[in-house]
Amino acid sequence: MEFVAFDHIHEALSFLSQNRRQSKILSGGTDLLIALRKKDPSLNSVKYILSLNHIPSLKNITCNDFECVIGGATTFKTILSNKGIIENFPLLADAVLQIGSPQIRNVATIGGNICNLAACADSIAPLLIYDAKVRIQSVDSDRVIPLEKILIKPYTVNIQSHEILSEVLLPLPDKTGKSCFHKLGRRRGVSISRMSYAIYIRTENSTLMDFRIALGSLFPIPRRLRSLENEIIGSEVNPQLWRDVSRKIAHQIVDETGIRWSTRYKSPTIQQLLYTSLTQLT
Amino acid sequence: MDRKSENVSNFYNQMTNKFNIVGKNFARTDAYEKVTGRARYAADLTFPNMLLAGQKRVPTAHGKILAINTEEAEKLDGIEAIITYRDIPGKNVTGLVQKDQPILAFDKIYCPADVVAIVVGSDKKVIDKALSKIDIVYKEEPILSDYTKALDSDAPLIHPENRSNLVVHYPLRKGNIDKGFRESDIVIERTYSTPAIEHAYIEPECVIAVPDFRKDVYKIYGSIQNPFTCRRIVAEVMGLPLTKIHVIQNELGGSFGGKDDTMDILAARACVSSCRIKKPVKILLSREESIIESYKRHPYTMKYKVGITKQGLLKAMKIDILADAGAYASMSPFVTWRSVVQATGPYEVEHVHTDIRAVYSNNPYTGAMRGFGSPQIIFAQESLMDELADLIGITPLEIRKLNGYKQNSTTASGQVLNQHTVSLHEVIDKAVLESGYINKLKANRQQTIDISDHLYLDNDEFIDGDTTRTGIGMACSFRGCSLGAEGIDATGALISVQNDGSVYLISGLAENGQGLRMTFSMVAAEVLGINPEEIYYLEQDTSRIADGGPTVASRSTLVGGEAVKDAAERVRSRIESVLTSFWNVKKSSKFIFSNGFIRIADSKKSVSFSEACKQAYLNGVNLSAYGWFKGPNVDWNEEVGQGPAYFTYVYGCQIADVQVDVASGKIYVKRVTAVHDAGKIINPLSALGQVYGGVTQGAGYGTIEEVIVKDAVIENINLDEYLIPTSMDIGSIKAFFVENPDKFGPWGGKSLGEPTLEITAAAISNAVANALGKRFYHLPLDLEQIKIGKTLHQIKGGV
Ligand SMILES: Cc1cc2nc3c(=O)[nH]c(=O)nc-3n(C[C@H](O)[C@H](O)[C@H](O)COP(=O)(O)OP(=O)(O)OC[C@H]3O[C@@H](n4cnc5c(N)ncnc54)[C@H](O)[C@@H]3O)c2cc1C
Repeated sequence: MEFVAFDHIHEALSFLSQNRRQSKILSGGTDLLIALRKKDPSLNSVKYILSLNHIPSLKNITCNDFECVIGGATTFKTILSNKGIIENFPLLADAVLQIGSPQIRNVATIGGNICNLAACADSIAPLLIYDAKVRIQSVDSDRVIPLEKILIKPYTVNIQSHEILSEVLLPLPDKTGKSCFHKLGRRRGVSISRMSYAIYIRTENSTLMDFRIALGSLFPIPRRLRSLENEIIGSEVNPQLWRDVSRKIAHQIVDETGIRWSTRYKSPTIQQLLYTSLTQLT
Repeated sequence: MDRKSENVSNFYNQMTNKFNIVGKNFARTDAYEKVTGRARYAADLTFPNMLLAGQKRVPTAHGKILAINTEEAEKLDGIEAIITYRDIPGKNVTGLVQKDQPILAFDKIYCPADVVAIVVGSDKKVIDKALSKIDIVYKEEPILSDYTKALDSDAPLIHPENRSNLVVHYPLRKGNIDKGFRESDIVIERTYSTPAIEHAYIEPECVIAVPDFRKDVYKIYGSIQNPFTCRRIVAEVMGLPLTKIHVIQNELGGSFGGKDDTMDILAARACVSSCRIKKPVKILLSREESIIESYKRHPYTMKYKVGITKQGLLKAMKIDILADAGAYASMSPFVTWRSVVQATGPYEVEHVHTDIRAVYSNNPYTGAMRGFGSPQIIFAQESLMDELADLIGITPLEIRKLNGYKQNSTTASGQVLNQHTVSLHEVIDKAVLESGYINKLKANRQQTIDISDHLYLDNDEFIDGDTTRTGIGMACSFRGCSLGAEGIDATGALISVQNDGSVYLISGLAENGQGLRMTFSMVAAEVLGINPEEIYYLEQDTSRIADGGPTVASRSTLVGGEAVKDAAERVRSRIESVLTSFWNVKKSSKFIFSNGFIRIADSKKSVSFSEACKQAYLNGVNLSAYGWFKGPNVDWNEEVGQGPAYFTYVYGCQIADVQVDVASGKIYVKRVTAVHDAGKIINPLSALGQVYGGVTQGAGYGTIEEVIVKDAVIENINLDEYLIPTSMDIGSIKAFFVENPDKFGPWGGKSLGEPTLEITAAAISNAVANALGKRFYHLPLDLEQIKIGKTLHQIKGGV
């Protein structure tokens, strides 16, 4: 295996297009190095490890009046030290602060978190709440699509091996609502999510005007629950609504994922956690 | 004559409460190198022509080996040799007590850790390829993984030559158990169980065997806990006298009791390999191999039947404990012996009837780990005390005060505690005071909560408002210091003062990361009136000092410290003689050694320590001395489990403040108040380090740690799945030391390393019971245990 690095995204893209399926992108490497050490079969055909770490445009954040744009290879450390993110996207900041440890956050990146697409990828649920879009580039194409559209199945995103996720675009949200992110792990530091969720709620005179919810580690990949959201927007907010919502979500999880070894624990737990968060938010 | 003058000992009697060095904070001798990354560990070492070794295992937990075919692998370019049991010059089968563990498997596979062959080469990739080409033909045998079935008549026999899976059985009989139950008003029976856990030292095992230019001489470098045990095993395996094997200990990146047998066996394999190819051979385990190969803490299943009067006096305890030894006996006979001595806890019970058995299974073998047979029984005993207190309507504090050991109490093994200060009540009182135990205990009991574990919650099963509850819990213990009737308890120290006053020091016990080198330097410095930082602590090498037994059982400060003090006093006494004639003063003059000077009391005479050493040198006086300490005799009657098991004891009490989120079952240990009487504290800084580390490790045992074994195979073989606490996972640890005098130990300095760990899990469990009004009988108290009352396991592929 050979290691290559470029200073400009265009050089990287042309290298990728010349060595399709033989190249693997390295960003922070906190997932990829582990896969390499485990000799993951998906890496059998890989000849080149292409690092994004010398491409400055992929490693910073810019904010204007409409949106914040995070470079695909921006580290969590950079995200946490950005005022625009902290002020406008508190859910993302909360989630990122709980990823791994300071050492991990110094190198791990948002693009890596998305593209690796583990069920427990902590940044994704908040990004879904904010209707994030991603920009995907190759030598001959450049598209911006909703993040949700590229999340296919565990460890698989809809990005080809010659493409780079170059940006995460976050439209500035309405700031009148309330939100929370919750992560449950077996310990406090360096902890993998056993379950996580991000919620955004806006009410007017106890009527639910906006409601968004995304879950991590409960479905095979992080997921926004759009149909449930639509179903209850406009409802009168009261504890009974939240009991019903929490229970519905548990049903949906069990219906879709079946009774797994962890269901007996996870199902009652997610209901109570959601109920507590939802009642606290309203 | 090489004897300490009367003078010296008188001097110490007077100065026991006035120290120059002892009791002050000193950073460890190795702190600078470790913090700056300069320290060299075994994995950092290389030698000319050094080769690497890979180990071949078989994917079964139990099987008969029919053939070992290495021809294909040998053909590979870059492979120097493939070593099997046939290459072993001496004995292949070892074991500290029972000879049951092969260095290289030859007839049978006893557990998945077993190694059948060693591949030696220079390139790791080629070695891996060769490993895959070794073909081992074997016949599977039925696997015994549920150790509670090991003594069933139809259980597969692990070591058939023993005709039973029983490794050891210790009975203890005191009083008349039936009478005890008759005299009790309340009798309860409870069963507790604890898991296997991993030491999780940060540095995986590494050893290098280097053939010397001298015939049949080998130097072994490694992350070795007990260089002398290692030397003995390697010498036996090599069929060589002890003097031909030099074991040199490198810096240890943690051990916690875990770098004993495993390292000895790896050292023997490396040595056999280096003997065959006449080149240095290094074995370095990956984390996965480390977890697969190393021994664990014993899982215990403990049945306690206890009788108590309405007034709260313990009358009778019938205890039946089963311990999983795994595939090899290893330390099981010693670990379970400590359990039988301490199984009632620090409580006076008239009638005791204990049986503890360790049994073989195909599981990972179990051995020494910080605590050594005590954390398990303390979890049971201390849970019981709280539960009994509840039943008769008194507080956990009251039941302990009523029954806890006092001066002259008699232990379960009939030992009268009259040779040291029995400070159980003192440590409990201090912990209660410092933690605000009484008020918190009552306040927390007001809370009631029902946790529903239904798949779908009914409307009335949702909890409104805050879902966190707080709890406080205590646990206490007594612990026999050092080896007790387990073994020979003697150790030496060598001090060599140079003619410029600089000092070399070494003892027969080895630095394991606990800070022993500084503690010993401080002991010597106190005697000689010099700065401990200027003492050069020598590299641990079995050829430099006599076999001082293993560095285990929290014995270093006590036993090794005495030996160091003895050595330093011998030198001091000789310097005093030199100065007596040099100054021409009376033989009874009182010498004062402090701050690098030697003075005579009530006189102007003074000389620097280095000048005095020069004088001694010029007068041909030997300023090198061997110190020695041998523990007093202890005794044990195997038949009835009676006798003075240990020559002295230490006492500790910890109180845990926890927060439990009943929504998720998650426990957060907010604070642990730890009070220990370890006798005189030599270096407070390292004593605090022991408490912080021990409590955190104990909290891990209580809440998250478990080696998950399925059909004898370990499922969580790396630290992403085997979780230990991080610094974020524990709140504040408040340590307090009660320093009672003892006639043993340097100025009464005794044991601390293990006491700090052994009680924490029990205190946490009692705190959780206080928070939830519900008790748990199985460790660890992980999310599922708290939420749905049982542990769910699935590591591979689960979230
Ligand atoms: C100790 C530890 C703790 C961790 N804790 C957490 C945690 O708490 N929460 C959590 O969510 N994760 C955690 N992780 C996982 C990991 O750190 C994150 O998923 C991280 O965001 C991955 O980013 P990276 O830059 O390191 O990705 P890399 O390992 O560099 O890449 C991951 C994958 O994405 C691809 N890729 C990366 N960037 C791009 C791009 N711009 N375009 C196209 N493809 C790309 C790579 O080819 C690779 O397949 C932890 C990992 C470790 C080792």
